[in-house]
Amino acid sequence: MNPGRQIVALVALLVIAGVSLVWYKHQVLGFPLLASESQTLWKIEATLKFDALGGPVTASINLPDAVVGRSDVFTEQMAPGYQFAIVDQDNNSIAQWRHADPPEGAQVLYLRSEIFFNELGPLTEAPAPVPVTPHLIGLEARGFADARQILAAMDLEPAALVETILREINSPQSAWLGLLLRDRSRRADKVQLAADLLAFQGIAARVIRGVELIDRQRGRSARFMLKVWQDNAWQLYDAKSATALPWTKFIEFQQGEQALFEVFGGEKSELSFAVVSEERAAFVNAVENARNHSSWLVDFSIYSLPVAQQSTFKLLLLIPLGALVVVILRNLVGIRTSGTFMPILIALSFLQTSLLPGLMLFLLVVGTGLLVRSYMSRLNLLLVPRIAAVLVFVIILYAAIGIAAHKLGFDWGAKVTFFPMIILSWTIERMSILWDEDGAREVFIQGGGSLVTASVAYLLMNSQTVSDAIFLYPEMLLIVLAIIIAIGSYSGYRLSDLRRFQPMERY
Amino acid sequence: MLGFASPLRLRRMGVVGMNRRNVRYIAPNNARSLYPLVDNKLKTKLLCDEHGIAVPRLLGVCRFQHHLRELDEFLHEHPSFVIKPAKGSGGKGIVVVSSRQGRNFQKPSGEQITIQSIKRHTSNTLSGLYSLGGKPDVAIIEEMVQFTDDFADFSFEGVPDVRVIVYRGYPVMAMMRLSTHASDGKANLHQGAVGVGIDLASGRALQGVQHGHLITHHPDTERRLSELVVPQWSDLLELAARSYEVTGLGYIGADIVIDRARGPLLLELNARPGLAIQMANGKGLEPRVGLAEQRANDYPDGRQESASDRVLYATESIAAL
Repeated sequence: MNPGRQIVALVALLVIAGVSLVWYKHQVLGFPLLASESQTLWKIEATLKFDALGGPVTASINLPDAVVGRSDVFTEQMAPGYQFAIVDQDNNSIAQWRHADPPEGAQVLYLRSEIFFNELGPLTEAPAPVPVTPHLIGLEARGFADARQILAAMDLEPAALVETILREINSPQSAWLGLLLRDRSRRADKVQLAADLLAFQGIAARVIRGVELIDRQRGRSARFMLKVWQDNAWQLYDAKSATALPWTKFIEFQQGEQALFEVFGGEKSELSFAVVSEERAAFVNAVENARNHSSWLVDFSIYSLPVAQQSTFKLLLLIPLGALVVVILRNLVGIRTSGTFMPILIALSFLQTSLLPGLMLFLLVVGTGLLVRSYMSRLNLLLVPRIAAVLVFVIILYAAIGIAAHKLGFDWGAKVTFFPMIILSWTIERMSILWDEDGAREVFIQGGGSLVTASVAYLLMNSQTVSDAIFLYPEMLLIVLAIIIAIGSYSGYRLSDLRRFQPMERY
Repeated sequence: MLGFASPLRLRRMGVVGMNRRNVRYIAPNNARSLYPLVDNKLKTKLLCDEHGIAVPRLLGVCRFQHHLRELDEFLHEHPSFVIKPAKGSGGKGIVVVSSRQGRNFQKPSGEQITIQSIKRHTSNTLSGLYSLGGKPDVAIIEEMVQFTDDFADFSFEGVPDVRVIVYRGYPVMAMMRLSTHASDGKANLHQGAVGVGIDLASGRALQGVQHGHLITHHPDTERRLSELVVPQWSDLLELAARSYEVTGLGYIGADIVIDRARGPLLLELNARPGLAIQMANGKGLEPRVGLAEQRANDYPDGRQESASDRVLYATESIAAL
C-alpha cells in the first residue's frame, strides 16, 4: 500500500474508532455529551507519608463528620499490607491503619473520598454552643482587656467583627494585637487567638482544619479556618483572607484539640491533600454504572487513576488541542512562529495568568530581554554563556516584575513565574539574531505569529466546554490525531501562499 | 491592499505552494539521511571535488577555537578569501575579503575590518552562532570567486548568482538573483532582491520581479533586465544537473556563480529550495516537474540519461512549458 492510501486508511480508522467510542460511551454507558448543568463532584485524596521506624505502626486520620446535605459517595483507601478500619473514638470517625511489621523506610497511605453537595442547609446544633473563654493571667489578661475595649469601641456587627479580628491577626504589625500576637507565631495559635477574642465578645467560635475545595489542587496541607456561631448556625470564615466562605467550599477534618492525624511507630509524618472537581450528574453515574458492569473502557481509563494524577492528565489532555491549533495555523494558514511548539508552552502559561496579563508579561520580558541582548551582542560573548546570561537576566526580571507588581497592588505580577524561562531565553536569543540578520520586520512577523497562535490555543484550551468534553471523552484525541495526520498530507495551498502568489495573477 | 489569489487560478497556472513542495517534492525525493550532504557545505564541497564538479577552491578549514591563533599567519598567504559557516543557512555569517590594506582586511564594499574582528567572527561561527539550531560548527575558508563582468551593472554591491531547480536530475526552472540597495547586498527575494526568471533554453532573461511586482530595470543601476544573458548556459545547467548524481537528492536547488577564469562554479546546494522562483518566472513549477517526473520514469531501475542528455531534454522540452 502506498503512503497516500495508508494515510487515508489510518485517518479513516482513527476517526471511526474515535467516533464509535464516543458514541458507545454516550449511548450505551450514558455519558452526557456536555458536562455542564450538573452537580460538582469533589474527589479528595489524602496522602499520609511517613518513615517507618521498624516495629508496629498505627496511623490514623480524623475523618470529617457527617453533614446533612453532603453525600460521601465513595471512600476507599490504598495501603498495601496495612489493616484498615474506620473506628469510632469519642463520637469521631477515624480512619486507622495498622501494620505489625512494615518494612522500614518511606510509607505512603492514601485515602480517597468522593463527595458532592445536595441542598446544604445551615449547620445548626442543639443546644447552641457556648463561648469558651480562656483563663488569663498577667500580660495576656491585659492584652485581652485592651483588645476588648478597642473592639467594643468599634461597635461592629458580628460578621464585621469577625472579619476585623481575622484581618488584624493576619497583619504583621497589628496596632492593638501586637502584644498578644508576639507569642503566637504559629498559624494555629493565631486563629485560636481570634476564637478567644470572639469568646470574650460572647460569640462562640472554633478553630477547624480541613481541605478547601478548589479544583486541580495537589500537595496541599490542611488549612485553618474559623467557624463562628452566628444567627443560630455555624458560619465559616477563611482565616487567611478574612472573608466568609460557604460550607460548600470546605471540608472540615478536625476541630479544636483533636489531632488531624497521628502516626505511632513512624517519623517525619506529613499529610497532604489533592482535590479535583468533576461534573457529576449523568457522568459519574455513568462511570459507576460502567464499573459495576466492569466495562473495560472505564476500567482502563483515566478515571481509574488516583485523583492527583487525574488532575495532571486533565491538563495534559489539552495539549493535543494546542498542537492542533499550531498545525492548522502553520500548515493551513501559514503563520510563521518562533519555535514550533513554543506557542503551546506560552498558551499553557496563559492558562495560569489569563490572556491580557499574560500577553503583557510576555511582551515585557521578551522586550526587555531583547534590549539587554542587543547590548550583549556588542560584548561578543560565546554562545552558551550568552544565553546563560540572558537566562539569569530573565530570572532577575521575573523577580523584579513580581516584586514591583506586588508593591503596586497587581496580584498577577507573581504569575510571571509560570512562563517557561528557558524557552523565553531561547526566544530572546533567536529573535535577537533574527533582528540582526533579517531586520525588525521579521521579528514582528514571527513574534506576532507566536502570540497569535498562543492566544488561539489558549482560548481553545481555556474553554470549560472543551476541557470538560476532552476529559469526558479522551477518545476524541483519536479524532484530533486523525485531523493532524490528514493535515500532514495536505498538499494544497496555504492562505499565505494565496497572498504571496497573488501578484502572479496579474503578470 | 490585502488581496488573495484565487486557488483555482493558481492551480491552473501550476503554482506550487509550501505544502505541496514539502509533501510531494521534498518528502518522497529527498531522503532525510542525505540532508547532511547539503546542509554541511564542507561535505558538499569535498563531495563535489571528488566527482569533478567545479566549486570555489577550498583554502582551509578552521575546526577548533585554538586554530584561531594560527589564523593570522594562515591568511597572510591569501589576500582575498571568503569565510563561511559549514552549516549556515540563508547566506548568514559569510564574510568576504577582497584585499589587504596593511594590517587590515578590506571587504568588496571598501569597508575595512581588523584581524580581531575576523577572529571573533570565526569564533562565533565555531560556537554555532550561524548554524542551524545553534550547533557547533566549523568555518570554511575558500577562495573568493572572481566574478565575471557580464553582470557588472545588474547587481548592487552583492554577488549575482543563478538558482536552478533540479528535479530528479532535470533542470526545471532557473532564475538569477540580483542584490539591490534595498536588500542590503543580500540575494534573498523577500528582503528586496530582484529575481529574474531565466529561459532554460537560452539563458536569457524572461522577466524581473521585485517584491512581487514586475520591473523592467534594476532599481539601483538602471540596467535593462531584458538585456541580461547568462554566459556558458548549457555548462551551467549541466553543472546543476550533475548535482543529482552527486547527492542523490531528487529535489534540489543549485546555486551557481560564474568565475571569470573557471566558468560556472557550484556555490551551494539546497534541499529545501524556496518557491519565489515561480514568481520570477511568472510560471508554476508543477507542469515542469510533472514532465521531468514522466521522463525520469521512462528510465527505470537506476538507468538514467546522462547529465548532458538531461540538459538537452530540459532545454528542448521542459523549457517550452
